[in-house]
Amino acid sequence: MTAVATIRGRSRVTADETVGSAAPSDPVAPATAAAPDPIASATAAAIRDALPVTVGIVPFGLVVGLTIRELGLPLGTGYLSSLLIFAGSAQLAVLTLVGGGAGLVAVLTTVAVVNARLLVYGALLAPSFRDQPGWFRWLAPHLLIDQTYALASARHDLGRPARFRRYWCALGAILGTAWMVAVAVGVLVGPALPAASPLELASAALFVAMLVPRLADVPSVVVATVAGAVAAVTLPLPSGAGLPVAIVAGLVVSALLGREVA
Amino acid sequence: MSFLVVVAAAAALTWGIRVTGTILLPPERLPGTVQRALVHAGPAVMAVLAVRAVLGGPHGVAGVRLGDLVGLAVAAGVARRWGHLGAAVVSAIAVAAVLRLAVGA
Repeated sequence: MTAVATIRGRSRVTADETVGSAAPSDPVAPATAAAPDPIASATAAAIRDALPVTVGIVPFGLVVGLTIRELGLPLGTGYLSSLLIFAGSAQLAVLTLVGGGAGLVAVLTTVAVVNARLLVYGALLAPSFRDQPGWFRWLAPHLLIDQTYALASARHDLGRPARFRRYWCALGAILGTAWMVAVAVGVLVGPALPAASPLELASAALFVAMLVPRLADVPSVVVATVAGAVAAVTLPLPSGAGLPVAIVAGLVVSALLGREVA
Repeated sequence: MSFLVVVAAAAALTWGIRVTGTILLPPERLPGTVQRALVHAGPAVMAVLAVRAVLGGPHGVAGVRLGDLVGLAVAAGVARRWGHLGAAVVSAIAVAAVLRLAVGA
């Protein structure tokens, strides 16, 4: 079994054992007395996880909405793009490029580069999508964004397919609704909003809070440091192209460290 | 070319990338080098997203406030100590807001 699959597999076993241990060990005890419904609790977990993230994506949604209005793009189609693309960085790139008169090839090339990181996210979450119904396997990846990947990959209690499915759908529904509302507000009242607010810090705080617990060993610290440094250096690249470059740099270092350990 | 066509094409491409990752490229089918790379993908991705969220504003590095950095440090401390995302985000915003109001940082 692969290293990744082993890690994911260990998480699954742990999760299944956790779920199993929730069942009452005393056969006389009522079955429902001590065993919370693991599927229903997945929704509650998604709500708990999504709330702080929602604070982080609202300012970004406002910016996208404001961009749609300021570039003079068709408001209906611009707003629809929030639902169809559902990837803030890529959407902002599309809006900016179309507003600047770029052609279809340039737009799609940029979208492919900006969204290349979703390939990595998808590969890491692939075990959770494997034993799911067909509708979920083909439709639910639409909810794959930075925040849903970060939250789902940080949880180790989503081993059961039904539990992951419930968590993923609830998470996507909450964040998707917040995103659409924020974009709508940005379109409608964006010009009246203050230019700078501490709320803009929410996204950065969220990612920092997600990063810190993952720095559990030296290789993780090294990989994060290199990836972060490359991200800072490549910031001037247009349309967020530095983002996948920095992630790939981190992955290369990870591969090299893995080879040394092996 | 219609804006709607461009949006539809971009959406289709994005969906294709997502499905390729989740369904068509499961980790065990990837080469060993790629599998080793993915082991520490989490810290790499989070670090990149954090750096871009901090420095990726319209004014770049020049737009970063000292109060924001203090807020992020508080968020890191809260996350490390209690592991609660909501508390980390709220505390970071609160600290940054207080510092902006108090000393304009």
